[in-house]
Amino acid sequence: MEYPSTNIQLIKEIAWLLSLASAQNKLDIPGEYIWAFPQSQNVFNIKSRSMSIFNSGNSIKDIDVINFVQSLNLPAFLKNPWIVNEFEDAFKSWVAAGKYFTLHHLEEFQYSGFSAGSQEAFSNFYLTNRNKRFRIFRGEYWWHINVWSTLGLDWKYIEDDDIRENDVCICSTPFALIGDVHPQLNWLISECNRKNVELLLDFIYLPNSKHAVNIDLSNPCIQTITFSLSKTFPIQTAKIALRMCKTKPHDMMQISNDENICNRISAGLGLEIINKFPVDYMVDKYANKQQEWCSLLGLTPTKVVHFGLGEDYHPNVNNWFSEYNVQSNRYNLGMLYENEHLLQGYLKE
Amino acid sequence: MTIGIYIQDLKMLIELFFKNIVDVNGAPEMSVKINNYELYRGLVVPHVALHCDVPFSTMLQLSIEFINKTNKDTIIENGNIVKDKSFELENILFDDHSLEELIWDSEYQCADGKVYESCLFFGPAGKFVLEFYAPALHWILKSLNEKRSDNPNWEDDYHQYTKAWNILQQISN
Repeated sequence: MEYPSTNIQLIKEIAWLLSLASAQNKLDIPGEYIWAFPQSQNVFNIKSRSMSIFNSGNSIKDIDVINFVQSLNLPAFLKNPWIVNEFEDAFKSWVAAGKYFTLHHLEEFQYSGFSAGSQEAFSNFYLTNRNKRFRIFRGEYWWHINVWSTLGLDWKYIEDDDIRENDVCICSTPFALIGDVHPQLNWLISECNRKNVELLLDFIYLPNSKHAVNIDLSNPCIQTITFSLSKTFPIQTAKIALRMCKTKPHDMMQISNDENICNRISAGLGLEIINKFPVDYMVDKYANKQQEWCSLLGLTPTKVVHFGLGEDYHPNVNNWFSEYNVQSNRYNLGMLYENEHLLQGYLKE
Repeated sequence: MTIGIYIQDLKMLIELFFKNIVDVNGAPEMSVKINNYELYRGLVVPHVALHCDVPFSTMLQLSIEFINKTNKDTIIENGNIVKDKSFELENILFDDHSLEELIWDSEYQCADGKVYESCLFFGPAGKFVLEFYAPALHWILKSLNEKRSDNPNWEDDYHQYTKAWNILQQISN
């Protein structure tokens, strides 16, 4: 897809500005990963960071959430043996209250388990299905392919072969690359139903989405769904996620849940967050900003509030971290929202 | 320190990094100059940071002179040098930007008239000399691309960086 209206020059300028501001510790809200901090003001470090500044699917670093999290007494949750169950129960009500998406028949997923980020649920799914062939659409979360390739597991893009009986599928919904439901999701569900192939739905971007998802979860192929707070709130390094299944799984993660040894600090943090901030919090707060920034930069807003789509501003550069990390047309707008004070000063110049 | 009086001056930070500093009859001392203006005179230490104002778009000469080396500072036993007052230049940063391989585009002018190309070792009395122009970042990017031919967009990098830097300075003020 072409995006002729993309204001490449302005995007580049902002990217260099944010990158240098990061090195000079002048961002309104600093990054949370080592790779987000250029080692020095050296021009090559700054250039490198500028080319990845809009990458990643990371959450908006909302200052009100950050301040709330910092006010909590997290170690106290270690003393509460019921905290993980409390989080799981509260989460279902929290997500069901979303006014911008509809999950039909969510109640069929009777078995909830705390997951150390979606990645723990994915890892268990890989292990359970290790003798099957994994299938994803192009543009899906790159981590899957990196892991499969590293472990020598069989996989293939859905676009490259029919769905076959020995396959299992994963699909982020909204889809990671485009910030909307994948245009072939309904076809995939039909195929999986017809061929008795399991489809795991990854709802990590769901809370940040608006009018994207309206799905019938009673489809027999959908046996496992995963949710996470990592792309919604700036607590991704606490790795707070939930797996929900129609039948009780028998894997490592479930054993840890049954044994009541899940991460109580993370579960407690998750519970506090969802008790304080509704599932639509980010959409309600940032939808207008998404429109404003996309209009200014010539991007197309997606149905996920912190993404916009546009022409790649650094074409012909290798994908970051992994060759499978394809996100060149997807802009994470989070840093624009977070650094409004800094950028307003820039835009006045 | 202002290097002369110019219509358009640029502020510049020069950082010098030294290693293998060997004391004989006292520690090595140096004089650092831009053209003929001395920025520093004193002991050679691992890291020296020097602020100065330099003229825009004029060739400049950075010199680091080894000022207290005498024949007595080279200890010879059985025809072999066993200890020698000396030091090595490890790196130079101009405004946070490493010169990388451009540091080798220099020469060491010995007091006895000999000249060694690409020499970062301060053994004989003499001085290290490097020529560049300001803005130093422009010189670095241009010169590196001439050597490496790997960054045809170096001028765009220069403008993006300097624009961002100036904006942050203005916002901060």
